[in-house]
Amino acid sequence: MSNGTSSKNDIHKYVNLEKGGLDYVKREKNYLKLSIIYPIFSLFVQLLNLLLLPYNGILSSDHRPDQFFFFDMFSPASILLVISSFFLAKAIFLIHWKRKVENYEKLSAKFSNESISIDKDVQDSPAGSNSSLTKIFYDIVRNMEVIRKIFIIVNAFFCYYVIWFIQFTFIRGQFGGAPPMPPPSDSENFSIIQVLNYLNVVVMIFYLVYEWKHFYRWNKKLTKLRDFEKKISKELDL
Amino acid sequence: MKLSETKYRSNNVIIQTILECILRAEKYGSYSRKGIVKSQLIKYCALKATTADKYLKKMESAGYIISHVEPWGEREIILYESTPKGKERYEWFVKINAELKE
Repeated sequence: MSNGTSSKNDIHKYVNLEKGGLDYVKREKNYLKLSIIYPIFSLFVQLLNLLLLPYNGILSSDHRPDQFFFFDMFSPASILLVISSFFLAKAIFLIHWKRKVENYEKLSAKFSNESISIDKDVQDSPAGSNSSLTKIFYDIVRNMEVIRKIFIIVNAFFCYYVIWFIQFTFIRGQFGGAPPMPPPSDSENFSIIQVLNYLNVVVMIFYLVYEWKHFYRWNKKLTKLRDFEKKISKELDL
Repeated sequence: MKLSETKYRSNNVIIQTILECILRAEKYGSYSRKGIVKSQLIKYCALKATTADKYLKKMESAGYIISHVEPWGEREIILYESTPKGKERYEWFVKINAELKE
């Protein structure tokens, strides 16, 4: 009787663990969605910047000193293009992983309705070579370790961008020289681009803060995981 | 001998996958038989027989799993079950990964 009760408790505990694991996977999916939104916006703004370069007076015959440089527009556009590409690379990583998760969920649902019998073909098992919760967890860990390294490079690029942004928008605008933005032929469109560029910087700051928080949590988790792996290897004398 | 971090990790992937498979079998398996058949377990975990043998022996001597033999027609089959210690280790692993409260 007590054996039966403890077995039921164990199964209940396992079900809760699996549910907790899948809830976490869903949270990671939400993180994926949020991670994709900003790079798309950033890419859009930078593409606009690049497309409008020829109309910004750069190619005009205005030879005033301190006039608007091609470098001034090309720098933020190229830098943010690089940053956005990194973020998109991360999104592709996570989309690839998401497919594995969906595969696991489908198979898990299928197998929860069928008990395992000795003669059943086990090729499609949710715990098979391609999909188990353990492998999904380790996929996340492996991807995050790569993304964490990329994130350090992205931060360096962002610092460079902020330096340029402050110099271009405030210092040069305040202390003479050519205006921050050249007199465009279509001022309404250019003010929209300017607003989008400001907005891009603000959103990027929030995005980086969000990512820093995410990676701070990750570092703590990875330390715990490494300690756990060492403990298991020690216990098994591997 | 001190193992590299990659080695610790690859060991743990195999061990946790084995524990997950056994626990899953205990959840969905038939009530007439306790545990999972060794050949099924090896297939589930997609391991080579020699690798599986090595890890199953180590896990058994560490008290993570237990094995017993049952008749199957004219043959005998080896079944594996998880122990409370094995369940606890898998639980720790999921809790760390899924960032669940202890």
